[in-house]
Amino acid sequence: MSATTIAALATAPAAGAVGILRLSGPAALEVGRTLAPGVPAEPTPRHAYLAAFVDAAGHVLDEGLFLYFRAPHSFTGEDVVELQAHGGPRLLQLLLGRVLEDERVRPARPGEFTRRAFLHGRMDLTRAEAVADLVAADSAAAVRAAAAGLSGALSARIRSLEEPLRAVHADLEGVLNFPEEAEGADEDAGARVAALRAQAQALLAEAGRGRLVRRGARVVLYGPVNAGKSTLFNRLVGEARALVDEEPGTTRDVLEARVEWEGLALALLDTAGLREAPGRVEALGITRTREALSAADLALLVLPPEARASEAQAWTREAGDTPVLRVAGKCDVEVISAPSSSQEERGLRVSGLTGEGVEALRTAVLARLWGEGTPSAVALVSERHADALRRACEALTRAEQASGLSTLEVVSGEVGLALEALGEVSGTCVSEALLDALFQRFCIGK
Amino acid sequence: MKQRFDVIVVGLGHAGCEAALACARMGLDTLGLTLRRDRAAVMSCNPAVGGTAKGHLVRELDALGGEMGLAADRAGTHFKTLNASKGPAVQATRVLCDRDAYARAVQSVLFSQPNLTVHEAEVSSLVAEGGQVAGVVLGDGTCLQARAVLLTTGTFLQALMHVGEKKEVGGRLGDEAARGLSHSLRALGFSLGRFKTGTPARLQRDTIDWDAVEPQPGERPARGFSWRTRQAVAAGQPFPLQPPVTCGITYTTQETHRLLRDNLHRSPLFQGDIVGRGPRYCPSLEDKVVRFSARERHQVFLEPEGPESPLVYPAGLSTSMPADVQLEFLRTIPGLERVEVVRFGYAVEYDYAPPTQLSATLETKAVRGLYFAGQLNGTSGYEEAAFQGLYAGINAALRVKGEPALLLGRDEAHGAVLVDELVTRGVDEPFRMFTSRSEHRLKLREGNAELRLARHGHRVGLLPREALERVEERGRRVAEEVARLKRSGLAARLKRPEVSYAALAAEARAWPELPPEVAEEVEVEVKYEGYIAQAERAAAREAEAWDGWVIPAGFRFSEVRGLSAEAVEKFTAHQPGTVGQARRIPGLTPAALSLLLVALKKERAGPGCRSSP
Repeated sequence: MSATTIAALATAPAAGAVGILRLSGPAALEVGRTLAPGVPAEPTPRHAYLAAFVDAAGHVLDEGLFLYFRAPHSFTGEDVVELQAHGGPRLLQLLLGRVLEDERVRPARPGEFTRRAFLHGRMDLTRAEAVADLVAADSAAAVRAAAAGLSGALSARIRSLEEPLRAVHADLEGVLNFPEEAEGADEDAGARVAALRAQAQALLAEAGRGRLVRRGARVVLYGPVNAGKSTLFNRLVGEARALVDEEPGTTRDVLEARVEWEGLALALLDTAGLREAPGRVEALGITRTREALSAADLALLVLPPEARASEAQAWTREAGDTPVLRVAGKCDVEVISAPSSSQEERGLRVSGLTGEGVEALRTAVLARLWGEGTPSAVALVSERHADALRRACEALTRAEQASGLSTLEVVSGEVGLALEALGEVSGTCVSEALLDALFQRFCIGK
Repeated sequence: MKQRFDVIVVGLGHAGCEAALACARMGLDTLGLTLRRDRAAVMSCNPAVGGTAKGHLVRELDALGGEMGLAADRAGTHFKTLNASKGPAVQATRVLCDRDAYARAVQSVLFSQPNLTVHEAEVSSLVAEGGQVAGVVLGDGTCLQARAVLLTTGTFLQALMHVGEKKEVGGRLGDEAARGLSHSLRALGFSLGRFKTGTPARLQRDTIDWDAVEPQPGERPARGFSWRTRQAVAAGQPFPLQPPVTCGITYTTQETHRLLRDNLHRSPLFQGDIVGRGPRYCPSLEDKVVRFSARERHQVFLEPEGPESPLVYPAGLSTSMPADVQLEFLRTIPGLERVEVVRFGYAVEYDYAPPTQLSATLETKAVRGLYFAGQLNGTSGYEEAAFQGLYAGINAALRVKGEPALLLGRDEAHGAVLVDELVTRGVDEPFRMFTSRSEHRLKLREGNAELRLARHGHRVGLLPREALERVEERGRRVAEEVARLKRSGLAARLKRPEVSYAALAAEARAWPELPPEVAEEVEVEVKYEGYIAQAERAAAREAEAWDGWVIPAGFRFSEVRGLSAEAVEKFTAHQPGTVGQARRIPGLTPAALSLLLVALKKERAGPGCRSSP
């Protein structure tokens, strides 16, 4: 049991909602009571006390609930106190500040409550694995994603894939092992596998976005220098400056700035120095730009409004496999567009100078990176889980291909491999689960 | 009779016969003890050998130098290849035998085998000194000494038969039970459990209306198990040796099910008289009717027990209902309206020894030189028993001779999977082999059993040199042809599903003349290469991730926080040495495993603990 007591706000610092201040450790009760002196010295565990929260002078700040959980029957396995207050972020910060004045208490590091729960054997493996990521998380969305993993969202998603997949596997293995009793159970196997493959890939796509959430996304601005790119970069960075920790790029040619948009961490990179169209730029500049582009999750191609389609295509090819979002910069400058170029071809119209279209651009960038829906629904929080899911997808893709072309034993074998991979996340032992499913589904005789 | 032998085999069923023959053939002075000589190698239940996974075991046993495959070929009356279209790895041979001819085929070998004495006696106890087996004591008090003892007593330990409300002591109808041995095993510190199995009624052949059932003839040409059979066929000898038999297929009716439901109160299974756990894959008909109540009918295979035999085995109708109920429900089945029963079906309960008490050679951990094999280990099926008998026999003989043990890997044989599952996972119901149990299934085919195992059979002295050389020659030709196809780029075409090896051969101007068994193997190896590689990678990853994570010796599972008493008991009983082994313990919840992992991580990270590898 840890000797220090930790404290943190357990809910997002947003106004309006109920906020929770949580304390865990040996001094939790004593320190918690300094804020709520009305609560008895030996409160009934798991009982919600209505309490007045006071400041150092004894003035009432707010009224709320006080809950005490006695070790080991708590989330962390230690003594835990929760103060649920109505007040806004500022009030909660005040309360937190007061408990931190006590020398036995220090702020909890990200994921530390969970880490303690894990070390005290209060948490299963999938959830516990989220802790490592939580500790490393450096944006609010990453913390939310890790929290989603902790609450078992991942387990639920994996299960919803695993259960029908196990049924297919049992049907196929039933046919292979008991040809007479299970005859015909493999009839629509191809279609079932195809549907599950699609489901797995959707989950994998989310996992990919989950990875972006965890480590942040890299977005590179590139294109000719006279397109309004640098102004746009400054506008994108500058608008978020309050939240941003700007640092100069490691090379003269690339500028990097970190921003957080809607709780998602992004690194914006400006590839300065490309003064001319590709093919005629200096070798060093193009090399660095290419490096930045190849490591990017999204490339923003900023072109002057008068750019021709062929020019845009040449620039797009420079990005290689990295997805490209085309932007028409300097939309404050009126030009006569070539009659053939549609809005679609010109890309989003923005102006770094006036800020016009910048909001739409941000939305577009987020949409391209994370798709529809909020990244906080992404439950996959560890690289190991993402890798297991990727292998499950690959096996299902092979199974789907084999179902039209190869033998049933191959199809079933690949389905089995997919289940093995998912089992690494859910902790299910495939061979045992398979036998159970077989015996439930088939009446197998001698 | 002599009082001193190298090896004593107790029980001459399918496990005991393989064990006794292996030891004698490996040059050891061997004694086989049985309650009745004329019942050696008797097929107590269905008169068939092989089927999915079981056919694989027989081919593997044959490649190692066992007897079952050849005996089944000699006694075979109805040959069938299962799963022919579902892939070469799950394709399996099943041979229906003339029941008497099978026992005769084995007995004739057994009774004429040099170095092997067969003697009728009951063993009442085992003798061990200082953790080493010393011999056995017979029912009449005679002491026999041996350097190794193999126990292959099948269902005979404390056996109790149930026919409806009637109970009878005995391991098989007409045979007595072995009573003293269970006590002796317990005294040596072994724990014993209780299982049950059952067998259906035997029907009088000429009272079946064969015109009313679907006929099911065997395949022609017949495909047997043994390399010795193939050699004989190649030399122009006739095969099969027995006249063919045609089986029949019929189905239970709603009336059958109603009768069984109405009489459940008379079934010892539902009355609670039978305490032993029975297998889920071979339930009695009353079980099936209750568990699968939505099913309209259940398939019944009518299998004549031999060309001349007056008996028919109705596969799918295992029961322990009282005789009057059995007769009544049988007569509700089409084709059986006027059937007469020669012997009623029954259930048998028996002691088994949980096989986690064994090491990987099937030698007991507690008593050196003592080996358990077959149904005693909680398995079900002739083939599973025979493979274990051979494996234990070979290892007992190697131990006596001071030679290194035969340890097969899970990627080498289904038989090795069988043994590994038994000794590391244990059993919680009578264990039968499924191909699904093997993560290397695509590699472990009936067709390449000899290529996989012949060298081991020869190394231990059971497979003659010429046989090994033939297999090696075949392996060389397969490898050469695969290499040629790859060089010429034809392998890539052969991988395409619509392209067969024969088609490639047909369109080529020059093509090597290869025997069909070589061509088949080449085709499978090329077509499956990618899939096998995938499966191997997954198995390696599994092994690395979990089997490489060592649980320190002396780890106290009882101190793992939050673990249920049941989980602690399971971990403690199995003593897994790695997380991989822990994962394979049956009946553990993922949560229990997570708690173990957490505890291990903590231990690894904790102060004052030696870091685990």
